[in-house]
Amino acid sequence: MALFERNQIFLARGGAKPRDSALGFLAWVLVGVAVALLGAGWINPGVFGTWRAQMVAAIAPVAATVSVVLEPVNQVWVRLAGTATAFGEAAGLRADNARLLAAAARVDELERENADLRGLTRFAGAPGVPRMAARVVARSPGGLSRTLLIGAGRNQGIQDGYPVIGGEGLAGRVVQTQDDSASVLLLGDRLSRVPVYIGRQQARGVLAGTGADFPNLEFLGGGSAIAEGEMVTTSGLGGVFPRGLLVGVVVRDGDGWRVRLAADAVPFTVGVLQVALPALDVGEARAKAPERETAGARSKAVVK
Amino acid sequence: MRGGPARHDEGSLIGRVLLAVWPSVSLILAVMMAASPGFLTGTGVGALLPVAVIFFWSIRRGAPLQAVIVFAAGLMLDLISHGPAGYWALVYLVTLLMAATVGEFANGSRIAGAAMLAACLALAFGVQAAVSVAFGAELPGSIWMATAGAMMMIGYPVVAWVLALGAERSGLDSGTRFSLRRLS
Repeated sequence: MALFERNQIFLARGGAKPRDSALGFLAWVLVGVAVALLGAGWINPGVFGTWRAQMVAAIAPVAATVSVVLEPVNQVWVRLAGTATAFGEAAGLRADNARLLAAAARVDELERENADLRGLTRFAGAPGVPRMAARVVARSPGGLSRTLLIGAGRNQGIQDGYPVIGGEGLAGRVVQTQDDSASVLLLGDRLSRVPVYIGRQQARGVLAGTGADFPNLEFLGGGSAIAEGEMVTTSGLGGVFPRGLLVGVVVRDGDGWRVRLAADAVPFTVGVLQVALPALDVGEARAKAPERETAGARSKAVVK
Repeated sequence: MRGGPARHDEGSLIGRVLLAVWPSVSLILAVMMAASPGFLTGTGVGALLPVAVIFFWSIRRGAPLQAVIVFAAGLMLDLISHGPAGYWALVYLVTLLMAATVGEFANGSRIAGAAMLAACLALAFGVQAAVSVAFGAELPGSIWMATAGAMMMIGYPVVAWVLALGAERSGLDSGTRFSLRRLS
């Protein structure tokens, strides 16, 4: 602490010459360049796509290394933050627990009924969508975008558009793939639009990211009777996401509706997200699994 | 001779190299930490860490942090976060200009310094908000921003201590009016 005390934290530049005018001029030129880049991105969000992919591919290994080094620190923070919020959540969890116990009894009953009906109709069931786990190596720190960078890419079988599952629900989709990394657009990003069904009546709507924690529900079907707490799932319309993935629950916001995302419950720290691989069938995915395990040091392939 | 790790002489090759790269390296490290998954998640402090680093170096005599490095660091964060290119670069460059300007008025007072840091943080938020509005994104709540700013203010002495430690070891402060070597 001696250094802390003797080095004035807000060290004055007393007596210093003002910053070189040439340096100041350069800074203003670079401000102009940054504004020009922003303008280009505003006009066409996809501009610089190829260049961006190459740069991200170069940066991703460094980001992965830093995330591994910082993981113990991050874990401490997650535990501290979790402890701080746990007290407030305890009361709500007790109420949820009572409600879930009742719901579990109802699910048991429905499962028995479902099994009976399947037996009657000799229903074979749809094959599950294969998934693989990928480590999160970086995330946007806030601001204008809500994205993740994961440590698996084309070499691990991931393609643009693949859905990404975080814990209990849909987290987003892959928007750009590199050889061993991929960018994931989270549902909260302002560019994210997902067709959804709401509640038991399956009212149609579009989940629209705004850059905030809770995305909006827009373009609700006429006469939709939506209630707070209803489940929101993907509708499968548009073909980007498979139908039936859990998105979150409805919350009221003034005159409108928003969605508390199920995937937000997952702290994206340990970084294991599931990427659905709809282009592969189950057999092909299993065959590729050993390659994935060796291809990426930080991408654990778990194919279900 | 004092105990602890040896401090590199300003004239030595290692000292000159450290002197040249430590401010830039510290900024790049701050950006990588800001993008690290889980680093102070949800607080908004992560993105302010580079602002604190820029402020620290900008108010020092000699202005060791170059604008082009700040621009590159911001652009790197834009690439990692898949946001529009130029967003973080603009935020950090404007912060650099602000810090360099207010640094001229620094008189060594901690209160004045803290006010300058607060002004830089407010400007960083202001630029973020302006660009977000232009891109049609929803603004974060004012309480959230105030909390993030307050946390960064509280955490700044730790950031400054780490940076000063590196600066002293590289001999970076040997040429400043408030030389660490002279003060120690």
